Amino acid sequence: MTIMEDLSLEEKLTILADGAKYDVACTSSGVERKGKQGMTGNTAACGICHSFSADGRCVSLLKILYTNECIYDCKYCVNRKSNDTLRTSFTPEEVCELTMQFYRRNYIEGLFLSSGIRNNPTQTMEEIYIALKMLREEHHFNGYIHVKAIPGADPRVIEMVGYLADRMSTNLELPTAEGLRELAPNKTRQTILTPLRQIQNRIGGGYSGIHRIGMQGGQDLLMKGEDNYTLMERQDNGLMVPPKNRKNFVPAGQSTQMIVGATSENDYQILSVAQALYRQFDLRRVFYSAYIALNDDSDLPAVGTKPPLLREHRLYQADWLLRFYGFEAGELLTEDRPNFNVYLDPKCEWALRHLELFPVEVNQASYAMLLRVPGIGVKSARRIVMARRTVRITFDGLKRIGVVLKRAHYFITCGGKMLYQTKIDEDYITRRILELDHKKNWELDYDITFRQLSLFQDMGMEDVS
Amino acid sequence: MNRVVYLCEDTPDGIFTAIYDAWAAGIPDGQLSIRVEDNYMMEFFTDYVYVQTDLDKAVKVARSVSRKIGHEAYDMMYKASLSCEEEKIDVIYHFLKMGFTYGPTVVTMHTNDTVCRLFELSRTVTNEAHLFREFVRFGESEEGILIARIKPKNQVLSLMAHHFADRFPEEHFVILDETHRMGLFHEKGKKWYLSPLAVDVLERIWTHSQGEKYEDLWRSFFRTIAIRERTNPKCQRNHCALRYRDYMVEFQR
Repeated sequence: MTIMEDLSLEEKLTILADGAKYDVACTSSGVERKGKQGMTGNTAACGICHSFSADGRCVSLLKILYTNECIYDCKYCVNRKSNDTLRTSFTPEEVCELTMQFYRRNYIEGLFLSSGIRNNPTQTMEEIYIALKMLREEHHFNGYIHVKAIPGADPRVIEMVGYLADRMSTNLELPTAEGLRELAPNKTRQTILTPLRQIQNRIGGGYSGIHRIGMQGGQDLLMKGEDNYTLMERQDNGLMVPPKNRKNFVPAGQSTQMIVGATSENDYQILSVAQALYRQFDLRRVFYSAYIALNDDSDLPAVGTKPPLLREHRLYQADWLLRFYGFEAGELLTEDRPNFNVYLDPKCEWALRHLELFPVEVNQASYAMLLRVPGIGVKSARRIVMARRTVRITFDGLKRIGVVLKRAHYFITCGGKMLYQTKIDEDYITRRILELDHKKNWELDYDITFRQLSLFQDMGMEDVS
Repeated sequence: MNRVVYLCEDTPDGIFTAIYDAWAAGIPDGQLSIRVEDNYMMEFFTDYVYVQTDLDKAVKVARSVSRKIGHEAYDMMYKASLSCEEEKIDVIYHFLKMGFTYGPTVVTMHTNDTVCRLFELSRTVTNEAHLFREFVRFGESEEGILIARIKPKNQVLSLMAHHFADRFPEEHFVILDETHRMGLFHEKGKKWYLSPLAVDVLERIWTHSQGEKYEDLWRSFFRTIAIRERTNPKCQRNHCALRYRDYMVEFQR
């Protein structure tokens, strides 16, 4: 490990941003806070992106590592101990200077501070605490702060950091405990879940990312193959920070991230874990990160393997279905059918397997059912429910509302009629929808192999034999 | 009978005054049009009425819309009035006619053509304002004043003002709208205001801002944060169209 002492600020920034860029979360959402006299900054509940980097990802926060020194040797990580890279660290002053100066120029919405583990987790967490305290109290920064809770750090330090941050996250890294054991020898599921539980308890319940749409009572779906974690009771020994206003503790909630494609988990496992995290840990967001093969290791996909971007995209779509559309993981996938069809979006796939429920009449269907129609999103479903109080909705009206008719028309009627004559047949509709998506999917992940064109399947002709 | 066209100033006050006057004149729908006076091409068989902006009349319109059709309707109408679309005032006028008939429920009639048009106008303006809240970049003058410049299609400054005044109560800042030659001014501890600017004044204010080390740092950060294996310029353009990049530090040089 080469630790460089006398680097310029620009060199440090480059090294420490480079080490942080594989963390996917860059959202600045979840908390609305007004500006204050004498301070700099406010936050918007919707979050604000400030730029888009060459990979098309949003840049909302100054995403940096405090240090890229690390005592751990997680196989998938660029900062692992055994990698021969330049190591450096910021000082608290440098973190504050960059954050304040970027913020007042409107480059960023705030700070995302992550870190490698220097010496031990508690010491690293303390260093982060010192930097954040300086930023909040000396520089009067009132904007957004996202910070990592470092597994294994003293819970008292994690708690103190929680009063300075808007969002905290602890990365689950891999969807299953076995995967973690294999690739991250210094981490266990238990040490990762401990801070998640601790922060959840301190925040108090009711902040999960899953939006109730008043349709079904959510029963807890227990994770399969998960380690038993013990519920961390809130410790009220005198050593803790005196409890302040609860709202000031991690007001934007927690998030986590899983690496997709480094190990052999299927989509069903990943989605079930995500659902359990939303329900049992009240997480606001679960992020999925297509594994980028940078490290040479026999336990990992070969260096240069293309990241599974389309699969990641499908998982995000399914995640949205869990959070905003009232779906459950078990409805979208099962043990027998554990992976998404990368060619179809998960909602379409679900609808095509449940054609017995369709077509639905737009003027009568419940809000919950409208949400399940491919091509109708949350906004258009809301508008339909509002608009049909005063008028009968026609296909023309749906178009004005913003429904994607080319997708939706297979699944709906207006005033008892479908838009075109359509066979309600799984294969037929699947083929039509695949044609719509073909180009888009190709662009998302152009490393897919096309199946052979078939006269009977692709030209819409019936098999005569 | 000749068509009647009301021509007014392209500001919410001017537009609301024109609506007040046209309404009072009671011209049948088919013959009336209200347009913005700049760049209007004269036509045959048309009578023109030039509207004198009158704050009292504008306030009356705003007040009665808020009271009788509701705040949401007023909000939509105000934002639509900032649009760059030529037929915006006709849309607002027809929307108000409907609004005074149906009351506050008019905003839920998403399948109606006029309501839909108004909604789209207001959404376009809101979206552009939001994008400039994201993409506007401040430079700093020698006196420590933050100065930014934008080239929007719609008149978004008034929709950006509150956000930045709330965010930077301790800063002096200026945002220049070169399309509409307007400036948003905020002095530390005071209320913000908008002021029209002559071209040379606008340029003079702008030249005061200067490049410096934080711009270079930002450019290095921006270059570094992208993941090479995921490069996707089309996705980048979808989120941040080229027209917004004129004054964005990270896309210069």
